[in-house]
Amino acid sequence: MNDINDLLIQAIGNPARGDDGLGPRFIEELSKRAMLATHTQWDYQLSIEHAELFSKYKRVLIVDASKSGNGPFQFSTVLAGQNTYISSHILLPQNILALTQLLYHAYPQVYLLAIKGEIFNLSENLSKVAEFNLYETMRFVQTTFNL
Amino acid sequence: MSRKITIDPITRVEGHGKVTIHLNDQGEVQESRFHVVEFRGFEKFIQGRPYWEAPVLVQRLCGICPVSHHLCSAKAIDEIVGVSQSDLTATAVKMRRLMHYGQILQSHALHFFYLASPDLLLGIQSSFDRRNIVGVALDYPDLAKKGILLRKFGQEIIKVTAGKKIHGISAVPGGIHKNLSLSEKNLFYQGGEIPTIHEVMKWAQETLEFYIEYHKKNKSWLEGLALCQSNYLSLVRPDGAMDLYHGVLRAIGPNGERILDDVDYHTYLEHFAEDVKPWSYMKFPFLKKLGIDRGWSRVGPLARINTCDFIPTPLAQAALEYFRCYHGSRICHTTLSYHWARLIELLHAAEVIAQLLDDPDLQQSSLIVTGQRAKTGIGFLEAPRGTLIHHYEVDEKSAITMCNLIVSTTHNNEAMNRAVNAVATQYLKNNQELSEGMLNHIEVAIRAYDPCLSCATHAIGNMPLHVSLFNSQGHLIHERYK
Repeated sequence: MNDINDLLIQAIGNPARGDDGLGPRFIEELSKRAMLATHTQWDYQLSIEHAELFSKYKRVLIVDASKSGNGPFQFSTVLAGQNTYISSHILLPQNILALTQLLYHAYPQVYLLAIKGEIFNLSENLSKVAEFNLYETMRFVQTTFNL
Repeated sequence: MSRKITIDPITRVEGHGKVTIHLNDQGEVQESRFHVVEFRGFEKFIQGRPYWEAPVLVQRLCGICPVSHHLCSAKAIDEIVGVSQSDLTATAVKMRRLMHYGQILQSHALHFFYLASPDLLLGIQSSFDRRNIVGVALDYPDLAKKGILLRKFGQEIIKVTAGKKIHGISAVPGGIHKNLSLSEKNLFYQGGEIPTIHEVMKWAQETLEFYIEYHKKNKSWLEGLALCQSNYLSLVRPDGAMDLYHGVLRAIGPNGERILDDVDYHTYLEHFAEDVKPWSYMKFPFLKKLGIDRGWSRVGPLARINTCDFIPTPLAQAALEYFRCYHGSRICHTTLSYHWARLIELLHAAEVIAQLLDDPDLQQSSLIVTGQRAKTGIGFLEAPRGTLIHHYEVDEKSAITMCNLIVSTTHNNEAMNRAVNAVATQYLKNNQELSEGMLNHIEVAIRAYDPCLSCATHAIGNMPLHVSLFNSQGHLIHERYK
C-alpha cells in the first residue's frame, strides 16, 4: 500500500450538518498535513458518475460519518453488490463498485471508513466526540495507507 | 372486508413520501392519497438573513437541483437591488443561462438513466432486486455509460459557470461573479475526461431515438397508465417559444385553451392560491379563477411541451413535431410521456449549450450592474421539474422579512394524487394479494413526475416511499416498505 498515486480518498458528507461534516473535515486535515500527493475529493453523496471516477484508481478509500458502531471508526472492505436498497439519487458504495466493474471492467479495491459522529444538527462545527474520533481515524489511516 | 394499503417509502424519487389506499367492503379502491411527510420550513428559516445571502442559502433546500434555486433566487434578488432582467449584461444573462441548461441536462439525464430506466428497460414487474441502475448496467451497458457521461458533462458545465458542481456561488445580485475563460470553454470541445458538446448532442439524439422505439413497442401500457387530463403551466418566451430560463406565464386547459394568456409573472399572487390538506406537508396550488377542484395544473417537461408553440432549436423542434404527430394531438395527456418530453428537453438543452459555448459574449468582462434598491423581488424559472417561484420582501436594514417559495413538485401534487388513485383503481381489485410489482405501478406513476419531495416541503432528508392498506373500519391490514 505504498503507491499513493493509485489511491483516491473520497469523502462524503455535508459540512453544514454538524458531524455529517466528518468526511469533508477529514480531507481538510489531510491537506493540512501536506499529503497532497494523494488524490482527494469530497461530495455530498455518491452518485452514478463516481463509478467512472473509481475506475481510474487501484484503491479507493470512502470516508463517511456514521451514526452507529463501536469505537471511533469502522473500517471495512466494500464488495460489489446489486441486491441492496436503491431509493433516491443516493447510491451506496457497493452499488458504485458494481457499476465500476460492469461498465468499466475495472476492479479497484474499495474500503469504507465510517467515522462515528454524535450530533447531526445544523452546524458547521464538529462535536467534541467527533473531533476525537477524527483524530484517532487520521492516525489509523496514516499508518494503514502509509501516508 | 375493506382494507387500507400503505407504500412507504416511495423509492427512486428525491424525498420521503408515502401512499395510503383505502378499500371498501367490496375490495374496491375508495380513496388514495400521496402523503409527503417531511417538513423543515425553509421559508421561516431564511427570514432575518441579509438579502444577498439568499441565492447561496436557498441552494441548501436540495442537493439535486440547487442550481435552479440559486438562479431563481438571484433573479428575485436582482429586483431587490433595482436590476431588471433586461438591465443585466449580456455576459451575466448568458452565463446564467449556460448554468441553467447545464443543470437541465444533468438532471434529466440522471432521472432517465438512473431513476426511470430500470422500470422501462427491465420491466415494471421485474424482480425488485434487479430493477435498479445496476440491473440496467448489466443489460444495457452502453446506454448506462452514456447516461453517466451526459450527467458528467452537465455537472462540468455547472462547475465552470457556478464555481462548484453543487451549491455554486457565482450568480450575485445584479449579475454574475465570473465569465467563461477560453480554457474553460475548450474543455467542452477537446474530449478526453469530459465528452465534447458534439458527442453530447449525438447521445441525446440517440437516447431519444431509443426511447421512441421503446415507446412504439410498449405503447399500450405507456399510454394507459395513470392517464390524466389536466391544465398545464409554464413560462414561455413572449413569442411562444420554449424558454426554460425566463419568459411570461402561460396556462392552458385540457384542450389547449388559454387560462393565463402570457401574463407577467410578477402578478402571480393575483392568479394563484394554495390549499392545504391535514395529511400532507406539501401544499396544493391552484388557479383562483378555476377554483381548487378545477384549477390545478401539471408542470415540468410534458407541460412545457404542451404549452409552447415551438422549440427554438432545430433538432428539438423536429422532435417536438414528431411527438405531436405521433400522439395525434397538439396536447398530450399521457402521464408516462413525461419521459419522452424530458428527453426532447435534454436534446434542446444540449443544443442551447452548444450555441452558448460558441458565443463570444461569455468571454466579456462586464458582469454586474447596480440600480435603485427596492423592497420586493420575484423570480420565476423553469426548473427541471417545472415552474419554480421565489418571492422575497426585505426591510430597510436589508433583512429578509418574507419569503414565499413555490417549487415545481408542489404544482404536481394534485396530479400525483390522481395518478396514484387511477393506478390503484386499475390494478387493485377484489381484495387480491398485493405484489411488489403491482405496487411498483403506483410508484412508476409518481416517478414520471420526477418529484423532489425535499424541495416541495423545503426539507432535508432521506427520501424513500411507504404504501399502507386500510379496511373500511380504518384498521391497517397490510403495508409495504421499500
